[in-house]
Amino acid sequence: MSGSSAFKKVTITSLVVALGIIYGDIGTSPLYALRAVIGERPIDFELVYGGVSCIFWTLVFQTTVKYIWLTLKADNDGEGGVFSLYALVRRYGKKLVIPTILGATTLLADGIITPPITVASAIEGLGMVKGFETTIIPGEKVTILIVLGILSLLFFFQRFGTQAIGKFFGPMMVVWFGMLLTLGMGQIIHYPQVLLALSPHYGYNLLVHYPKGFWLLGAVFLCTTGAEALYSDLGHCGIKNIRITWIFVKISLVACYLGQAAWLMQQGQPLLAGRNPFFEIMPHWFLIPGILIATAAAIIASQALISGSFTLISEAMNLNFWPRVTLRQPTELKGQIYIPSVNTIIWIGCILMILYFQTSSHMEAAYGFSITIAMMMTSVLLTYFLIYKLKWNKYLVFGLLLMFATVETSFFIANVVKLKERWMFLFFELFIFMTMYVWYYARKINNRFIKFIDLGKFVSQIRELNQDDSIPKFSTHLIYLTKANNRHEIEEKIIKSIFSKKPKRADVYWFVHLNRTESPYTLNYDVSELVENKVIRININVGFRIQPRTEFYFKKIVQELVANKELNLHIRPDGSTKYNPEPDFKFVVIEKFLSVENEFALREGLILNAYFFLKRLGQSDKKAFGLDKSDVVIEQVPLVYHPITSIQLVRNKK
Amino acid sequence: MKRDLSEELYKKYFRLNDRKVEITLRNKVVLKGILVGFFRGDEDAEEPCIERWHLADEKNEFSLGLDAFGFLSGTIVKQKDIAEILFFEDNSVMKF
Repeated sequence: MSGSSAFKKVTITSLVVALGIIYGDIGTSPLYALRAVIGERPIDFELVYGGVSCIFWTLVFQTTVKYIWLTLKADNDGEGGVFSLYALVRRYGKKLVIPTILGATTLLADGIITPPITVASAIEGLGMVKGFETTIIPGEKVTILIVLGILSLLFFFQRFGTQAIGKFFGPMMVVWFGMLLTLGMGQIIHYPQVLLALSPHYGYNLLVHYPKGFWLLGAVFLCTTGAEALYSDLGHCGIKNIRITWIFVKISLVACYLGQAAWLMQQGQPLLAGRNPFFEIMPHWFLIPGILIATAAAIIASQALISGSFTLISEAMNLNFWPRVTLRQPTELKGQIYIPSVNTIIWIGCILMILYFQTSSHMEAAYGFSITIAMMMTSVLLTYFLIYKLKWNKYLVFGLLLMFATVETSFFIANVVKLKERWMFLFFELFIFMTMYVWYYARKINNRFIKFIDLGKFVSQIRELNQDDSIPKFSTHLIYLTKANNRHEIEEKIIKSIFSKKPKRADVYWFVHLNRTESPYTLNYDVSELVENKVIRININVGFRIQPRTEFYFKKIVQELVANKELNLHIRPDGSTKYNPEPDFKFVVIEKFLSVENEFALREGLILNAYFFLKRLGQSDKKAFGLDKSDVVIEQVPLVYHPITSIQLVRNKK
Repeated sequence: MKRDLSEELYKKYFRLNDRKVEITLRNKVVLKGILVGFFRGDEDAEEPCIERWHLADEKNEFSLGLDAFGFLSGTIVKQKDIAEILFFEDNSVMKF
């Protein structure tokens, strides 16, 4: 079943579900985006109208045209996101791996600010409620502790999955967007001339004529930071549901921004002075329910970010961009995963963010820089998709690319100033980037040094060993995982493992090949019997969204073969199954380690040493291939890349 | 698109019963032996399908091209260095 098939039909339920999953990030931007544009500047017509105009046209170009209309076309069997897009276009450009890694890195890095900024913005609103004015102050201990508590609970509950509360996300977001629309309209009615702010010339005036107006794009950009996440969640909801709900979402967002602008024009004070226009447009009696709804929406937005990070890392693992780490499925819900290590990293990141920045307005100054890079990288991959997959006219594609490049480069330049506020992110980004880079390229180097041989040449020897009763039986069924694409070839190290030192006699030798496919949900297999009932090869095609549960797949396949009478499990009477009806399967996993007998070029040496270091931190091959419940023998094989050749060993003569 | 001759050699390798060959390198060096294995190229780096071949001594055909101590016996030949190969089984020649 494809990821989107459950949501192919557009129903009220599917639309509500889409609202709960897709729009958490972009939908909570009104909490802080216009406040960031105004900042500590004097509130005047040019700034307010220009700011709203820029926000509106950013939502038009960047969100509606680029993501909702164009990028959503790039679905890989219903799935979206940078890795799905990469899987679609990787054959058309060998260097596309770099934009992919950069896109994924930056998306993850800025994602760390999303939970703190949304939750902090919502909680800080409590300061306006009577009785809390002196307790809830942005940056004060109590406020920080509440935000820390909410986020820590959110991360703690990840291990249990979101099946139980997930069904409330959609209705909650309907309430949220309904609230944005109502609050906005309530202000627009009192100041209808604010609708003129939608004209692009106010935005142009702000960027060109307002003092340092161009740099305000860094704040304007906050209104669209969730667009990239929206594409990543495509698989959960389907394109039609996203496009239809976007109409409602966009109207609500624009109404809310216009409502905030209308309030700003009427409020009469020269400066914001710590006030948040989002909460100011709420009637006083509605503050507590409004803040509760905002907090719920902030938690849903944070949840979407956390789930999105799990999906991103899981795809990265399956496409060999990330070391194998423990991954769990907390519920039966399809596609729901939990990665403890990623959960801990993001949680620590969020905690550090809150402790370092303390207030949401400080976070605004750091938020958005990386997302601009992620968007630019998506544009690069999207160009390949439109040209090579959709076969669009090159000039049209380059025209579109030029338009997005202009918009995104402007945002990027305006966001560069945020670097001084977010320098510590560079270390985090460097860590993620290097992990992906090292893992990807080390595997490439590794693969270059795998020697394959003709399996057919050794079939007679295998048959001989199989019948040689002088050698103690190692196992009834002996299974090796092979990387060989062709059924006639095999890694030399596997043949060595069978024959060298103590030969491994078995009744049946299985060679299992896991083939990672470019489409996300493929799961099929084929079987070739190279020697009847003795040497069998299985190819399992596994999509990049599916966890490689090798043992489970293997046993299912054997079960089918036995049921079809294609295989007799108890081949010989002296097998280990004499006293036990359960067949004796033994997997041999060959783990590589870096031998000291190597001479490297600098780059290769650094990459390989980093690779083996990361490998030690990650999951063992046994767990990574889903063999942790099986009878597994681990064999350590030294990897010699470039043997040291310059040693002159001289024998001393007595 | 340029034809990948290493793929032709790869296909021929699996068709042969007797893999005894004579390889003439581009630097005119002539090597004789048995093809016992190969290393795949990196498609993303636009390398040929097979990047290197392992040519072992005739007597080592079934020993994976390694001696009793695990040292490599024979020669690793880069595909790009091969000028031509003579196959003794059918006396055919493949030029690169």
